[in-house]
Amino acid sequence: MERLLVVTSTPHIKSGTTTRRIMLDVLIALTPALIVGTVYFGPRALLCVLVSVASCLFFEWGSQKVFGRKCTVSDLSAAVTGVLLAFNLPVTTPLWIFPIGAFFAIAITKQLFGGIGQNFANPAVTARIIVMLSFAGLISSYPQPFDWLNRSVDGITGATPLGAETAPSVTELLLGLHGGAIGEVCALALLAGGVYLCIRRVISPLVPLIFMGSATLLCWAFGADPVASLLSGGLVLGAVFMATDYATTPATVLGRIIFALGCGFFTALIRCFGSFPEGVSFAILLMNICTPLIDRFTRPKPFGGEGK
Amino acid sequence: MPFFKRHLRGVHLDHAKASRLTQTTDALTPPSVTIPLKQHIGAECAPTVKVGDRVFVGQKIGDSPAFVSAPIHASVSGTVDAITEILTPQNEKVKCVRIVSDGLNTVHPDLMPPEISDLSGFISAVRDAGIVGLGGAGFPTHVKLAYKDIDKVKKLYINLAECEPYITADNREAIENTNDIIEGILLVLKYTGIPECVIVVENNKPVGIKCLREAAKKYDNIRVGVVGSKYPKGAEKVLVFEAGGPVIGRGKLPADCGAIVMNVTSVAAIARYVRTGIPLVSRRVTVDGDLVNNPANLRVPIGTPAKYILDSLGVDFKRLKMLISGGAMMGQCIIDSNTPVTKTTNALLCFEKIVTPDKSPCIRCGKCLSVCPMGLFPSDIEKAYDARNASALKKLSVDVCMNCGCCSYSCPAKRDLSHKNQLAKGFLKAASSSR
Repeated sequence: MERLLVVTSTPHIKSGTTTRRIMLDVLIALTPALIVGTVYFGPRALLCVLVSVASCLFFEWGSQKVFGRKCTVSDLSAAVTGVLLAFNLPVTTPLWIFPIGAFFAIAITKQLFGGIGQNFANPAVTARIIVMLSFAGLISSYPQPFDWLNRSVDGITGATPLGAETAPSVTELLLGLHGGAIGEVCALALLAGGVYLCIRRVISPLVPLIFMGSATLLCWAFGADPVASLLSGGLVLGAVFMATDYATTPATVLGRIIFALGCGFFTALIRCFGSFPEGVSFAILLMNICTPLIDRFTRPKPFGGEGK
Repeated sequence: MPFFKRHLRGVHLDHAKASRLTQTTDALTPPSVTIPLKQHIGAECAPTVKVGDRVFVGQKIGDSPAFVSAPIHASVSGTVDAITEILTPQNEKVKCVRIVSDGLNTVHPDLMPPEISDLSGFISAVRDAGIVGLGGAGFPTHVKLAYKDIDKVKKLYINLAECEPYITADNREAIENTNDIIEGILLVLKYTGIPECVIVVENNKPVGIKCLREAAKKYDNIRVGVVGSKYPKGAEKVLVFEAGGPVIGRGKLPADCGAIVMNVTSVAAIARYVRTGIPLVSRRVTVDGDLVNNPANLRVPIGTPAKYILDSLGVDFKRLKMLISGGAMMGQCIIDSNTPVTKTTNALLCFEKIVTPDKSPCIRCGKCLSVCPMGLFPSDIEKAYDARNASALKKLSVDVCMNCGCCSYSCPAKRDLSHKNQLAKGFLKAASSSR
C-alpha cells in the first residue's frame, strides 16, 4: 500500500445544483421586476432595494457572529429576502424603515429560529407585515408609475387598484401601469421570472398556478373583478416568489397543493371581507404556520406498503 | 419511446458510457492473482487448497457447506503461494488465496460439461459454476433458483438496465454474447418451469437492444422490453415494477411476488458453464474515468489486482485521487490499488477530478423526497437519525432504503443523506434487537 486514495461514501458524483445557485436563480428571476420597478418609480426604487439587501446581508452576518454560527452570507439567501422585502413596500417608504424590516426578517424570523431552512415563517412576508402595521401612516401612499418624472406634482399619490374605485384595463394591469409597491406592479415581469424558475426547475409551476387560480376564482365568487384580482396587488409576486419558499412550505406535492389552495382561500377572504385591501402576505403567513401540520398529514408512503 | 408506462422517481444522470462501442479485449494474465474467498452475499468459503499446491484454471479453491454461498475457483494456473487475509472492495476483511501464475493458463483436465436432468441438478450445476449476481450485488444465483415456490413464479426478468454512468460491461455482453444470454434464459425457463421471460433494457443501448431483439425473435416466451434511462432503473424493485410487474412489498423477495430477477451476464455465464464446464473464472470489467484516455472493456481473470489492469491501460498513478470498484453512484472506493477484481467488479473508475463539496444546512427544498424511488423522506430521516430517534425512524420506513444515492446526488446543500440512511438502518436494527 504505497499511497492512500480518497474514499467517500456513495454516491461519488453529485449534481451541480447548490443552495447558492438556487438563490442566484431566484435573484435572476427577480431582475425583470426590478428593472420595471426602477423605470416606473425612479432611481429611488433601486436605492430602496439596495438598502434593503445591504441591511439583510448585514443582519445575516451580524446575527451569525453573535450566535457564533458559521457565516453563510455567501449563499445569497439573505439577498433574496432583501429584494423581496423592498419589492413589497412602496417607493415612498422612508429609507430607515428598511433596516428595521431587515432586522425583523433576518435576525428575528430567520436566525433566531436556527437560520436557513429552519425558519417557520417567510422572513420577507413577516417583516413586511410588521413594518406595514407598525408604520402604517408612513407607508400608505402608493405613487403612480412615472410620477417621479413629473417634478412639479409633488406627492400626488393614489391607492392601489384594489383600493381604487375604477379598475384599470387589462393591458394596464399586465404592464403594471398602476400604483403599487416597487416590485409587485408588473405582472408580466414577475411571470417571466416565474417561467425562468420553472425552466431551471427551482420551483414547480404547481403552487403559483393553484394559488393564483384559487384566489382569482374565489374573489370572483365573492363578487370582485377576477382579472383585477389576479393582476393587481401582491398576488403574482406572492404566488411566484413567496409561496414557493422551500423552508416555509410543505415538502410533498400534495402538501404544496393544500398549501396553495389555503393561500388562495385566505387571500380572497381577506381581500373581500377583511379591513385590509390586500391579503396575500397574511394568507402566506397563515399557511406558513400550518405547514408543519400539513407535512404531518401528507407524509410520503414508502414503495411496497407501510406494513411489515 | 419507452415501452413501459409505469415510473418510479429517480434522477437523470450523464450516462458517460464512453466504452459502449469498444470491443472487449482479453487482459494479460497477471504474474499473480489474489482471490478472495468471499465474493458474494452469504457465508465465506474455506480454502480447499494448501500453500504449495499446483492449481489449474477452473479448479475449486474454496467452498462452504452453507447453502447461501458460492464456491471460488482458480482463475489462472500456477502454484498457491499464500493464504492470507485481504480487504475486499466492500471493505470486508476476508481470507484469500494467492496464486503465482505459470503463464500457461492450463484448464483443469477434469472439467466437463455438467449432466443435468432436473431442477435440482440444474441448481447444483449453477452452484458449482460459482455464479453470483454479476451486476454488483453478488447474490448467489442458485439460491434464487432454489426458491421454494418456484412453480408459482410467473416471469423471469433479465436485468440489462445498467443505469450507472460509465459502465458498459453488461451492454457489451448483450452485443458480444447475445446467444449465451438467450441460451441461458432458455435453460432457466426449461428447468424452473417459469413460463416467460422479459429482458429489460434501458433505451440508451440501441445496439444491445437490436442484437437481443434479433436473437429473441425465434422464441415466443422471450421478450425484450425497453424502459427509459433513469437511475436507478437497475434496482430490482424498480426494474420489476417499471417492466409492468408486481410491486415487491416491504421486506419481500421478488420471488415472493412472482418474479425472479437475474443479471444479464449471470444468465449468460450459466449457459457458458453448461456448455463448457468451465466455471466463472473471469469477468468483463469496464475501465473508465477522467484518467483513462481510452475507456475499455477488458476480460479479466478474477483476482487480478486493480493496479495491474490500470497499469496496462497507462493510467497515471501519480494523478490518481479516487479509484472506484463498481459504479459512480453505488460503487465502493478502493483504498489500496492492489485490491483484486472480484466476481462483482463490473467497473474500475479512475478519477483525478473529484468533488467533495462542503455541506451546508438543509434548506428543505424537498429534492431528496422528489427523487427517492422508494418514496422516503431522506432529510427527515437524517434529522431523526441525528436525534437517534428510533421510533421516528421506524415511522419514516428507513428500512426500505436501498442506498441508490439519488437523495445525496440531488441535494443542493450536499448533505450525505444516503450515508445517513445506511447509518440509520444499522441504528434501527440495533435498537430493535436490543429491545
